[in-house]
Amino acid sequence: MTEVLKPGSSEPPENIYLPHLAAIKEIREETQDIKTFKLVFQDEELRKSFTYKPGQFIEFSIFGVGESPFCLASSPTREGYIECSIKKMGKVTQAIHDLEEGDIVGIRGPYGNGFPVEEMKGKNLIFVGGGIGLAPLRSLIWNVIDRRDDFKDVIIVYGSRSIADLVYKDELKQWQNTPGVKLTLTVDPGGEAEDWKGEIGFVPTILEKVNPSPGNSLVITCGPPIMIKFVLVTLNKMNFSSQQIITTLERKMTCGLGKCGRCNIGSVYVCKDGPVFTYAQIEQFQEEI
Amino acid sequence: MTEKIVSKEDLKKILEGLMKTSELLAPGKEGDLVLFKPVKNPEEVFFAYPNSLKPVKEFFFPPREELFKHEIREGKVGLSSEHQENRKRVIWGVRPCDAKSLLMFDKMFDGEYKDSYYLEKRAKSVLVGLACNEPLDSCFCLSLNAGPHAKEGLDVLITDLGDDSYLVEGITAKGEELFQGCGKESGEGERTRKKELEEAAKKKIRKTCQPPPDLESFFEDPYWEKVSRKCISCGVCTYLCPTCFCFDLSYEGRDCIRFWDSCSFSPFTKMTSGENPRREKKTRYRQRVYHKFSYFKKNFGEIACVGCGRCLRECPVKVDIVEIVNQCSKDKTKD
Repeated sequence: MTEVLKPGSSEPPENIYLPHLAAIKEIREETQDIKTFKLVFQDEELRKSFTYKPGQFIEFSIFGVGESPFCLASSPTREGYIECSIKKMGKVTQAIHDLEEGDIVGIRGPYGNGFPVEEMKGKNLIFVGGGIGLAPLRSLIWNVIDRRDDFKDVIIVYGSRSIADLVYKDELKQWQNTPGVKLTLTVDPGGEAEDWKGEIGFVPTILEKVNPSPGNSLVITCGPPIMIKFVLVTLNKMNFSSQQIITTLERKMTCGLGKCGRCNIGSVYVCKDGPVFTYAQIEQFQEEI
Repeated sequence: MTEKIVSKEDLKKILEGLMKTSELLAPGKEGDLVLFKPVKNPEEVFFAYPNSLKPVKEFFFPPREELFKHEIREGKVGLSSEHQENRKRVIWGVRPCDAKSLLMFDKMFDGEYKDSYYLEKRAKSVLVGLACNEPLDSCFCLSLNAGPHAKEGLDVLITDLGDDSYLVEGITAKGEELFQGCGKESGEGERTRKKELEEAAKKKIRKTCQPPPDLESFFEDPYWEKVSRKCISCGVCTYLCPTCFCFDLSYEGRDCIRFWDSCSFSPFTKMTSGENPRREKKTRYRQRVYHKFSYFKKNFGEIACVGCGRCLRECPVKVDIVEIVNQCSKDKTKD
């Protein structure tokens, strides 16, 4: 017997591998190889009921091509849609970049633990991002801005190779103009232009210059591994403890359910136990991250 | 728990009955191999075998399984998934080690995210165990909380007492049901005979698996490079392992397929960025050992190995995971 699932059905799929259908509402070109996709679930009920935490991820399906995990770049405080920022890297991401507004894709999730938003309340938050690593941070940043009273000061240090590689350019301006938010932008040396008003230098160097205080603060960082490595050195120098530093890890995550067996670091499954970890947790891992 | 004695003729009749009412799978010969397959004739059901080449996991977690279909018509996408047939399925002649392995699968496929494909097949299946009287040199179930006559995971256990008589021990209601109205009550002599057979079988199992309690402390040891050198990363050990469950998902035309994968393969963990946390063979072999003897134990309370010995018997280059695990602490002190 074959059961055709109607797009209007409000029943959650019993089949844990079956994606929800979503339409692409809007596509924004962030950089030469990064696009942000705004997705709206076809099921009206699901559109209202789909909730998630910043830092969680979804499995994004292009029917007949493949499925890949991406972090949710939108904030749960903005209801009715979700957004993913996707860099063209391989077969699935190429197919996603070829999509047009109105196309239908499959979404499973949300999966993973997400950022400890509750524990962040009443604290100063320092965001350190590089390149497309700003995507999961963006989810949390908008969440924090939309619930501004729950959090203390926000410092954002964001950099990319060049001005053209900075993502969310319009939003960066909005963040800059938000009271209590201090945004510092930087580009790698050589990536600047004559009219560039931001910093020139690698993210860890600029972070040191911004010199945030570790008192009542948490750092949330995401970016290329080499940036993370030196950000940790800088934070250590500034007396941040490893409990105060939070990041999201990347692994090949096929099922997102802790079952397919490939995303583990020791006994920890990044898709289910992560992808968000403190550095205190990461230091306990025997396997290299 | 009921116990009874049945004759070879009784078993044949039961098999004939089950063929009509259920999907019946049992070990049969295929050339030199013993494999579980649908029973067409009760005479072909094979009893005198150490163990089947492949474990029974494929009947719950097939090597290739369609999860859903998609259809795109005029810009609209339709998804459909097949309902499984609910007909009762009897798997006859399962060895205790393989039955135990399914309890580990249950832990994996149940839990927070329930895998209906697996769980539905489990719910409709009855496992008829066959006690192991002639274990092989490569068997080591005894050291892993299993045993040649163990009942864990089975619905009923049959012991061949010789002389065409069999002791049937009911374990669950659905197991007992299969033997309702046949055979006779067991006597003291038969129960003694069964105990003797069990003890004799246990004595034949000399191989023991004894992972060091501090296995974690050897993680960085050069030992793993040394012991994995001859492994050819063919994945045979993982495909034949009754407790290995790693899989991949893929689209094939309109179908979304789940198929077996293996931690032995380098692309298993390779990300699109090119980064691969387990690119080196030693890290993959270590993953296999640690997943079974450390991670699974940490996450689910027991070692993910039942001692069936298939990986030792079928490895083309004779990598012996038991020796490797047993020796790792000794090797450390030698270096």
